[in-house]
Amino acid sequence: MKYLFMCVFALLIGASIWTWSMLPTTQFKEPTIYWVTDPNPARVEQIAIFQRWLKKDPSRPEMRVLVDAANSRKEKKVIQGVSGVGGDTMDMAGGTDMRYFNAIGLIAPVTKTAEKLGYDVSTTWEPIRPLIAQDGEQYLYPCNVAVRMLWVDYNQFDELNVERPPHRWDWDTFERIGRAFVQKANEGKSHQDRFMLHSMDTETLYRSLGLACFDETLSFCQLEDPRYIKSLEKKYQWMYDDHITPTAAEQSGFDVEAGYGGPQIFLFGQGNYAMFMMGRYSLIRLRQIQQARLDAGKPMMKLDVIEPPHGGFPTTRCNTRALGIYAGGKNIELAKTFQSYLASEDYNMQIVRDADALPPNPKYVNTLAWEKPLPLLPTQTDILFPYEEDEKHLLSNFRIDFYEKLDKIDRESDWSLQKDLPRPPKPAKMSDEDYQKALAEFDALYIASMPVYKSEWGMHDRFTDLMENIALPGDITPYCVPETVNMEIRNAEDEFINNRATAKEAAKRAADRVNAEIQRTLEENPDIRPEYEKARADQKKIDELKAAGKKIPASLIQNPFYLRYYKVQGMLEEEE
Amino acid sequence: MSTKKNRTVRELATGLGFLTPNILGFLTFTTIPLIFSMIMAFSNWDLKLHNMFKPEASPHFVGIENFQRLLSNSDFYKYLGNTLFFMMNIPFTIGGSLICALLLSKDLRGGSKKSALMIIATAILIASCIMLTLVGMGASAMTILVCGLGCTFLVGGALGGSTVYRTLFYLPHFTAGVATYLLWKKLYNPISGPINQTLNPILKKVEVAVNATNSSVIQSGLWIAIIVIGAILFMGLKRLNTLWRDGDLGSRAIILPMFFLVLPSVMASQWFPIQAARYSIAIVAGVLLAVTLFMIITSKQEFDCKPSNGFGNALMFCLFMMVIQFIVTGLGIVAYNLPGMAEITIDNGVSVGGLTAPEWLTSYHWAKPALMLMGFWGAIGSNNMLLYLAALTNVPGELYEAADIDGASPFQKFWNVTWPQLAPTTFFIVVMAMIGGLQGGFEMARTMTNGGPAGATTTLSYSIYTEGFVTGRLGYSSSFAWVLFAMVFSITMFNWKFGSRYVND
Repeated sequence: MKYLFMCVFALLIGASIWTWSMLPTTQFKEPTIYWVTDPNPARVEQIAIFQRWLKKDPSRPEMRVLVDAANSRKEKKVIQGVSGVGGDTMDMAGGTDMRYFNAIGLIAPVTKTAEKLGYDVSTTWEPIRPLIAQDGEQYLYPCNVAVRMLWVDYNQFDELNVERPPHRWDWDTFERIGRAFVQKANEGKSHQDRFMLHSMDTETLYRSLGLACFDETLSFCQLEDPRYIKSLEKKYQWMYDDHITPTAAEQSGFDVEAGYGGPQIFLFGQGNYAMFMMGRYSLIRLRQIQQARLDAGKPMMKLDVIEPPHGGFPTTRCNTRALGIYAGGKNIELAKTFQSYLASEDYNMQIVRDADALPPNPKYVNTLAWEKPLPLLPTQTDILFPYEEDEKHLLSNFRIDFYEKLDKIDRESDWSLQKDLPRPPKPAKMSDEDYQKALAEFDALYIASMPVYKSEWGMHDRFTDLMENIALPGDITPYCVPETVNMEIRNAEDEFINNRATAKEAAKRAADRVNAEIQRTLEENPDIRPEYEKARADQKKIDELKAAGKKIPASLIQNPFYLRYYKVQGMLEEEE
Repeated sequence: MSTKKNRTVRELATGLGFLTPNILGFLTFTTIPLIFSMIMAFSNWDLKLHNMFKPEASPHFVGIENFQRLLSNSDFYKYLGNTLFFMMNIPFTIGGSLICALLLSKDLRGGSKKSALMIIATAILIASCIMLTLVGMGASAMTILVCGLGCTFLVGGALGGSTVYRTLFYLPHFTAGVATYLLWKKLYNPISGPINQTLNPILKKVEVAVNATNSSVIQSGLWIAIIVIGAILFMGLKRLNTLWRDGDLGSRAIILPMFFLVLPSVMASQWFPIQAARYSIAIVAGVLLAVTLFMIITSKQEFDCKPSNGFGNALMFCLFMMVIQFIVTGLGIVAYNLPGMAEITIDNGVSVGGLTAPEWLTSYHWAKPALMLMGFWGAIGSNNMLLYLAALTNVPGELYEAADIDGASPFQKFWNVTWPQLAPTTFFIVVMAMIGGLQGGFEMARTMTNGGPAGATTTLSYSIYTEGFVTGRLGYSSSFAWVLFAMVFSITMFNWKFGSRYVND
C-alpha cells in the first residue's frame, strides 16, 4: 500500500509540474500580463491590435497580454487582490469600483506615467473624468465610455399611426405617446405583450427634477425629498396604471436568453419593446438583428437615439468601463504600457468601428468611421476560410491588415480606397476552386451588410451630442461603499413597488439607511472624519447661499451633478 | 523487544504518512480558518482598512462590539425570519422522503399485465404530446419535455422496477445546485413557464365561474372554514384529553402540543378579513379550549404516568393538525377575497385584474414560497430518502407478523410499528435538516433572486457573504457566522435533549 501511495504522490508531483509548464506565462519568452475583463470576443481583436501597436514603436517593450475572463467578478478581484495574486490589469466600473478598489489600495496611481505617455484625464471625455481620478490622482483610463439613451424603432410607431417620440420630451409627452402606443399595440389581446419602453431608472427621473442622491458635498443622502417620491410614483404609474413599461414579472415573462447586452435588445428587435435604454454598445447586437432581418427579407428597423423623458432638466447617466493597474502586480510598468494603448488611435478606432460604446478619446469621433461607418468583417469569415491551427496567424494578420486599411480610408476620407481592401488569404488545404467560391461569398456577404451600416450614417453624432450636453456621471459618496447605497435604495424601491411601503416611506427608509451607513463608516474609519466635517461645513454654507438666493461657488461643490445643474440654472459662481 | 519497538515506530510513521495529507488539508482549510474567523469576530477587520497594501493599519480587538451591533440590527432578524421561513418545509420534506422511501421499498417491477398497462399509458401520453404539438402547443417545449419525462418514468419503472425510481428520485441531489436553480427559474417564468401555463387556464375557468356566481355564496367559504377549523380543533382537543385521561400523555407534555393546536385559531382571529369572522373563531376556540382545560383540571387520570410522557407523539399529532388548520384558514381567506380578485377592469385599453397565476420570483409575497417549493422538490429524494430506505430494511419482520395476527390495518401497522422503529432515523434527519436549513439558502438566493425582492429571500448565509465580500467588513461578517453557529449548536443541543426523549417514547 505504501508503494502505491508513493506512486500516487509522485504522479501528483509530475502532474503539477506538467500543469505549471502549460501555464501561458511559462510558455512565452516575453513577459506576460493578465487582463481581467469580461468574456467579450472583441477582446481577442483588441489584443491583436495591441500587438500591432507595440511593434509600431521600437521603444515599446516586448510583452504579451492574456485575457482572464474567469475572474472578472468584483468579489474575486478584491479577494485575489488582497491576497497578493490579483490580475496585472483589471477592468472595473469607473467611479463606484474605483473608489472601492482605491479605498482598499488595490489600484496603482498612474498620474505621472499618464502624462508622460499621453493618456492623462484631459484626453478623455469631460463628464467621466471624476470617474477615473480621485483627489487629483489618476487611477484608471477608460476602455470605453457609455452614455445611456433611449433607442427607438420608429417603424413601430409608424405602423400603429402613433406620433413618433421627439428627440427631447417631457414626462407629459412621454405619457401621452406611451398610452396611445400601448393601447393600439395591444388592442384585442388577452395579455399585453408590447410595451413602449423596457424600463426607466428612478435616478434619471429624479435627476431630471433637479435632485441628486447626495447633496452638493456628497456627505448626506437627500432622497427623503418630494422629487424622489414623485419619481417613484411616476415609475409605478407607468408600470401599473399606464402599462407603458412592463412590471418585473412581465419582464421576466419574456422567456429569452440574455445574450450580450441583455434580453431587451432581442425583444426590441422582436417588437415587444419600442424603446429601450442603453449605451451605444447595443449596436453590436442591433447590427446582427438588422442583418438577420435583411437576410430574411424583412424591413430593417428605423433606428434612432433620443433623450430620456425629463421633468424639467434633461439629463442622462454616463459611465465607463475602465482599466486599472493592480498595485501588487509584478509587471506594473508593462501594465502601464497596455493602459496607454487605450488612448491610441489603433484602439479607439476599433471601438468606433465595433460600436463598443464611445471611444475613450473623444477626438476619434471626428472621423469618417464615426460619421459614416463601413461594414466590418463578416462574422462568417472564420467559417468560409477554414484555417488549420498552425495557420491561424494568417487570419489574424489579415484582420489587422483589413482594419489598417479601414483606418486609412477613414483618415484620408477617401472611399475609393475600398477597392484596395484586402481579402482573406488561401488556407493551405483549400482547393483553388473552393477558395474562389469562398472569396465570392465573402464579397457578397460584405456587400450585403452595407445597408445595415448605411442605415446608421449620421446617427452616431447623437451620441456625441448627448455625451457633451446632458450626460452626467452618478454621484458617489466617498463616505460609504457604493454597493451598500445601491442595495439600500433598491430594497426601498422594491418595498414600494411591491406595495409594502408608500413612496414616502420608501424614500425615508432609503435616505435613513444610507445616512446610517455613512455614520457607521465614519465610526469605523475615523481618518475620513475631518474630510467629512469639512464637507458638512461647506454644505452649511451652500444651504445658506441657496436660502439667500445667491450663487454657489464651484469650489464648494463636489457633486458633478450639481456643478452642471447650477451652471445650467445660472446659479454657479465659477472661479478662475 | 527492540525489533518489535522498531516495527511499531515504523508502522506509526507509515500510518502518519498516510494521514498527513488529510490532516494538513483539514488544518489548512478547516481548523485554521475556523480559529481565524473566531478571532476575526472580535476584531474590527475591514478589507478597506486592513490589508496588505496598508501595513501601517492593523485590525484591533473590539470585544463583543460586532455581536452587539449584529443583535441590534433589524436586518438580522429579518434575514433570520427568512431563514426560518424556508426551514418550515423541513417537516414536509421529511414526510415526503418517508413516503418516497415507503413507496420505493416495494417492488415496483411490473408483471406482464402491469408492464402492458404502463406501456399503453406511455403510448397514450406520447400521443397526447404529439396532439398538443399539432394543435399549437409546439412553442411550449417545456410542457412536452415534462410529459416526455413522465413517459420515461413509466416505461423505466415498468422495466427496471424500484431501482429506476430510486435513481430518479435521487437525481436532484447529485445534480449541480446552480443548474437546477436555473431550471426552476424557467419553470417559474410567469408567462411561458410550465407551472403558470398549467395554472392559468385553470384559473381562467375559475374566474369565469366566480364572476358568474353570486359573491356572497363564494364568500360564505369563510364561514365554512370557521366550522372546519372548529371541528378540527374539537377533534384535536378531544384526542389530547383522551390521551391524558388514559395515561398516555403527561400533564407537562400536554402544554406545548395544545399550544400548537390552538395557534391557528389565534392567528385566524387576527387574519380574517371581517370582524364577525374574527370574533366567531375566537369564541369557538376559546370555548373549546376552556371546556377541555376544565375537564382536565376537574377530572383525574385513569392511569398514572410521568408528567413528560407522550410528548413526542402528541407534538407530532398537533403539528399535523396545526398545518391543516392553517391551510383551511388560508382557503377561507382566499374564498372571501375571491370575487374581488376575479373582477376584470379595462385600464388604458389593457384588461387588468382577474385571476392570474403568481409572479413567483418577482413578487415579495411569492418569492419565498417559490424558493421553499423548490427546496422541497430537491429535498424529498435526497439523502433523507436513502436513510429511510436503509432504516426500513432494518425493521424486524416479526413485528409486522405480530401486527398481522392482531388484525392491524396497514395504517395501524405503519403508526404502531414502522414509525416508532424509524424514530432514531427521523431524529437524525431532523437534526441534520435543521443544521442544513440554518446554513442554507445562499446558492438559491444568489442564482435566482439576488436576495430580493426587497430582501424577501435574503437568508443568513447570503447576508454573511454580502457583509464580508461586498462591504468588506470581515470582522462583522465573522461575528455573523459565529452567531449562526451558536444558533445551530443550541438547536442541535435542544434536539438531543428533547428529541432523544421522543425517540425513546
